[in-house]
Amino acid sequence: MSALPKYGSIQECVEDFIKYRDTTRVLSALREYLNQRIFGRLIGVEHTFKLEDGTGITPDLTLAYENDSACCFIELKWRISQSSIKNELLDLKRYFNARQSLNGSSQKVTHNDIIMICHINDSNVVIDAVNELAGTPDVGFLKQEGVAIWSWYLGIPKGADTDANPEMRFGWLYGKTRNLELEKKIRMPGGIVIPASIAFSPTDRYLFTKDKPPVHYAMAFLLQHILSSFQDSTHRSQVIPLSLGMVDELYEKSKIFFPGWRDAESETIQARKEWIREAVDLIIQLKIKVSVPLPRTRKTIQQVLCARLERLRQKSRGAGPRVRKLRVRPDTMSAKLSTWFNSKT
Amino acid sequence: MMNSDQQYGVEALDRDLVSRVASREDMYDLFSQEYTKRERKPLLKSLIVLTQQDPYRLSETVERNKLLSKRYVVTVQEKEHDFYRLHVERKNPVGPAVSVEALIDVKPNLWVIFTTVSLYDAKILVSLFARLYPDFNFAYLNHAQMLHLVEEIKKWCGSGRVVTSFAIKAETETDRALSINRKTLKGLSAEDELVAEAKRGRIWVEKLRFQVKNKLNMLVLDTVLTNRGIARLVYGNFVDFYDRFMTFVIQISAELDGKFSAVRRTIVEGEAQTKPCSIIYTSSFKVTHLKSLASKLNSDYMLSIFHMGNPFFSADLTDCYDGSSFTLTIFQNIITISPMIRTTNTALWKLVGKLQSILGEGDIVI
Repeated sequence: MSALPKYGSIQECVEDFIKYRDTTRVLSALREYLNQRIFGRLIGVEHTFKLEDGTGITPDLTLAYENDSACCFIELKWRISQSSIKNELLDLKRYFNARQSLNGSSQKVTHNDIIMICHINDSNVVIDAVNELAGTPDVGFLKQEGVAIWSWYLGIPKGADTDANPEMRFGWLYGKTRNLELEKKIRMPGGIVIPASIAFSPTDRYLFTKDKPPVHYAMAFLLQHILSSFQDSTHRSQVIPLSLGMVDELYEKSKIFFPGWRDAESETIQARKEWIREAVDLIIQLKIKVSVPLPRTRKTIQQVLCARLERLRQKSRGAGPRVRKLRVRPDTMSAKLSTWFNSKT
Repeated sequence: MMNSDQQYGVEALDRDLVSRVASREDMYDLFSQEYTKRERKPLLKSLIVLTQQDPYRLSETVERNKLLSKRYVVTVQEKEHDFYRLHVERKNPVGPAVSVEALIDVKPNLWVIFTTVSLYDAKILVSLFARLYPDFNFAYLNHAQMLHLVEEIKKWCGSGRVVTSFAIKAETETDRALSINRKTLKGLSAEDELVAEAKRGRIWVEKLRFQVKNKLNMLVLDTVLTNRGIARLVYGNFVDFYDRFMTFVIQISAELDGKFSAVRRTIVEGEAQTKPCSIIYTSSFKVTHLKSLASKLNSDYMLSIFHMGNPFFSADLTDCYDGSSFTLTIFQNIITISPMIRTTNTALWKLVGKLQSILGEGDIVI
């Protein structure tokens, strides 16, 4: 049985869903933006470099600059918690210290820059952790040139009119890269604002990032885009028999939405299949019937899934049956009487 | 408000007109003869239904649907190659059953259905085919396509005269709110007025009526066309109505259907490439336009909305009946529909029509 996600409220659960989707949009937009060859040559998204010790590194985005003698790795994070920040920072060290070769040549790069981009809401957690850990020997590399932390933001700027145009913006938080063009741009007031034509490009290239998505995001993805495509006109009103044995088939159908799916290593593929397996398991547990026509809901699919997962979590903890709250319209006579009665007593 | 049948004084309808048709040739002769007479008669209605089904499978399709099989009895009889007679009976729990006779002319990817019953009874056919989605679907003709149709008709009639009138809904912006008013644009400048209205704000063309007159100012053809592809012949030669007017409507629908076939997600050199479909408007959307969109879409679609209420609207939607899924993005004055794994033309027709019926008509660019 898959572990159920823990959220303080349904609202938090829905916010996570939207935040992950926004991160995928940021990844697609950043790829297009860096592909303009202003800051260097984009090597790719989730491109794996083999190192001499047999291990490999797979940054979210790789940019080669100074005639391919240096690399700038970008790690995009959709969520950073206090418990995970130390590991995230330690991971950066592998990228920073790696010396890989590009395009199969024997010559190795002279240095690597690493930029970690976190959501603006997580910036305090990251900066506090960096200040706290920078002195320790494990993460001492953070003080060196070539390590930077930025923030990403997608939405309407604070204080702007509701009809104002939204924007996708990257801001500087910490450190410095050796890519002069990038450094100049990020240090400008307001940071890097991605042009609207790229930021709000309607054709999303990816629906996932390297990080594990919230389980309800993967469930909604399967229900909306993958399982819905199983129907055919001759088998209307039939329930699609969903089982864990279908995971490979589901991955094959959905792999084009994962960045770098062509060159993905077996470990990465297994991890992605695990996300799908977990989502399928919960769809089965929630007894969601995937049939033709698909179930319709008054609320959005993320709200419905979050509410049902919360109910399942409460049930698995042994909470009693759901008690329906009695709603009293405030303007009815009985409500007025009860208010009056309560005030008297 | 009177409908066209009442307007022409037709109360007791001549239901036998369709039953007298034995072949396609008979249809041409009979309808041409009947609709060039100046006398009271039921209007000829024609429906364009987008489908790839064999008409013989229609009754089977109805029977497969539990709800429809309880309400409708459908029989199809072949008259000649690709030409059928359709009988639909709708059971009424509190009164007598209503039956509709119609003729089906099968064209590539669509059927043209003719009937002479009253508009009220013809709606039985419309509601039946609407419930048979995604096997059957209706086209949505917007103002740009209607203007294109008028141009084609003008080219055809040459030295004759075409008098058009458009029944539209137009959105007007006042100090306090946006309101929608109904208008009729008549006369020789109706097309220019329609273009001006479309530039001013959001519009919906509900009906197009045009009268074609010859050099001697005599009426040659009088027809009405709705935005759902339902046409009515008020007066005129059936050959002109079908081979000219209806052929243009079919051409426009087929052209768009062909373009919709290109809206797909494909893999080129290992990278996913999407060919989106856009609807472009003359002005940007406001928050009020987008707020109502979600509630109007969730009756037919499984929705997940990521951004709503500001000028950037972004959502994933899945057609519950067809299984096609799309990413819908609205930014400034452009609606973009990006295909996901499964995308069918039927689902695209429906979505493009639905969006235009909610947000107003725009130019479709693929």
